[in-house]
Amino acid sequence: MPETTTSTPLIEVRDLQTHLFSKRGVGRAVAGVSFDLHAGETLGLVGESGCGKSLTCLSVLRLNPQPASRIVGGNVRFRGDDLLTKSEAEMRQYRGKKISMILQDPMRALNPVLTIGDQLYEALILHRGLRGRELRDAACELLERVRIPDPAAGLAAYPHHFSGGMRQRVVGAIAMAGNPEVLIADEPTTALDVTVQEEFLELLKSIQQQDGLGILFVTHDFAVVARMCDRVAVMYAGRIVETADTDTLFDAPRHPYTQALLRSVPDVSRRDERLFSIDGQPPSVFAPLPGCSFAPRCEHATERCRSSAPPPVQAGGRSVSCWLYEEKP
Amino acid sequence: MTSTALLEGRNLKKHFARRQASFFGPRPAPVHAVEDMSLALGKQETLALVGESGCGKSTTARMLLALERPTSGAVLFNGQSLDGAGAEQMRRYRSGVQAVFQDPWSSLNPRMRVSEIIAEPLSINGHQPASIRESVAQSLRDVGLEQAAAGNFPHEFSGGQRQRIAIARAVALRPQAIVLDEPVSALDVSVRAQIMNLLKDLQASLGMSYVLISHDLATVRFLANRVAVMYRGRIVEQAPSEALFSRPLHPYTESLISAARMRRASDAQAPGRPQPAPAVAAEAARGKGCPYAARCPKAFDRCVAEVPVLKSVDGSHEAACHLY
Repeated sequence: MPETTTSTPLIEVRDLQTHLFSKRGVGRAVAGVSFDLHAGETLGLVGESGCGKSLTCLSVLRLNPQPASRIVGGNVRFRGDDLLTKSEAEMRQYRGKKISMILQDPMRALNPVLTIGDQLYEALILHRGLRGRELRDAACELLERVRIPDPAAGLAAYPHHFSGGMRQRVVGAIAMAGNPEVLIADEPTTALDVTVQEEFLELLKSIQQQDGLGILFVTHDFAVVARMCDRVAVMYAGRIVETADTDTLFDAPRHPYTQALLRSVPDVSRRDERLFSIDGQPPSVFAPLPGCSFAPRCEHATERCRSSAPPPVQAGGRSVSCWLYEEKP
Repeated sequence: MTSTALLEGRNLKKHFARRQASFFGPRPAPVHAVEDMSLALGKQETLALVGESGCGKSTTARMLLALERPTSGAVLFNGQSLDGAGAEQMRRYRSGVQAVFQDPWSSLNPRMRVSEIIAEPLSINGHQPASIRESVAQSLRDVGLEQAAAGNFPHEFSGGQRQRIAIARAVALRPQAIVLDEPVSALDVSVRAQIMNLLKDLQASLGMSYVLISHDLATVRFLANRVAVMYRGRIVEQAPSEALFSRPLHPYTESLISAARMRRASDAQAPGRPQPAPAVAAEAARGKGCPYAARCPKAFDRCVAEVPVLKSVDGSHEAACHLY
């Protein structure tokens, strides 16, 4: 993929395929996903529920639910090391330490019967082997970093003493405990109120600027994408259909799905009389289509779209998987 | 407004008692979920209640639906108070005011077929089987579902279709008002647009009023005629929708709208959240005065001394703020 930066990416995902195995058969939930994530960069992964964005993230860390799902193909590299061939013990050197993850719901990500301190200590002992005084200081420092007022008192508190926004900041502190190089944030602000969300996003940005963290940011909210991400990958039915710089994507979306999605978002800055909506629904992962998965809902679909799937076309730092752009330079 | 109000809340208050930590311990102060709210819903109007979680908007909705008894104050339906209402009046009220809830996965009984779900309010209200069948078919048409859907169970549908079923049930009795509690927040972007359009169409064709509870201002701007912004159990600003969005008065409303606006990372970085002057913030922490003072960048002496009351600033544009 042509890139503006020449450095090797922190994370390189190539043609990743994760299948679901259930009574209904084999589901191609992640059907050939490729992307790069560089240091200091935020890559947004956007798509509607069921498009495979969460499973993609979990697959990167090989935390996908098993045996319900299995990675059946592709590559995931961290600084060139192939993560898919590592043993479980080796994977532990990556999880939380080099690549950490923040999940959507701060209510469920924390253990309700352990203090905030205990949960921070666990991560610090595991990843940095700290003990005693040092351990406590490091935990305080982490809470301070995520702007929890009175960190010393915070260590003794239980999750239920904290508001949703504070809890998510604690989750952020735990994720930062191992000084990771990559942070995967799966809908980290969906459960938060708008003004709290604002604070959390700003906090993530400032941590990123200090540490040069690469962030893979999963969301379905375009307002959050616009604010947070440098580049965006749009997912539909298990594939990335378009990747571009955030500004380029918003100003000139190419894939008909991206175009339709952007048009259907109501904007608080103006009053629409009618919202554009995409008819129909995404195809089931258990019944993949022979051609482009968006073809049945696409106004530009031709016979060719229905019979064969378009490969990604690269042009000027962006990539689109659509037959409409085949001949474009 | 009062003379034509379809559904009205007058000085609604709701306090929830908290459990004593121990039998001998002090009695904890009750939680003041809603503090003195008054609102009126006109005919064919959409009134939106906006605010962050815990601001009391859902409690207000539950009081308007008579699912929760106000600690004080009254809910009036067509000018008649529900307090001490007889069975007949309550029956008329319940068929006149329906509800659609946020989560279409938990609001539909998984063991009932779609036809039974939609028919339930009709049979409770004593409709005849023949007319029930007709109404169910009509409701399905109203919300754009196929007639074949009637025989299926909720789990056979996607989120958007389930929300259509919930709406079909709500409109089956041809109510005068529907309380929509976060009707689209559980849905995906593309489906959300479909449901929002449907709600707008149904309102136009059936002439209903909506109370829309939402934290999403873009949804509110699309659907509502009038907006009430709530903070800590009080209305801090109330205005016709366009006036509110084009010229928000209360600093809290301003911060909500600016947080919801599409902003690019490449845009000039917004200055960090403005904070109130430290002296004012310290005073505000003691809890007297305006509840928003501790977070308000424009707070001054009077804000921490006195609770502002909701008053008209510009015609029907009301705000509870000492700036005006």
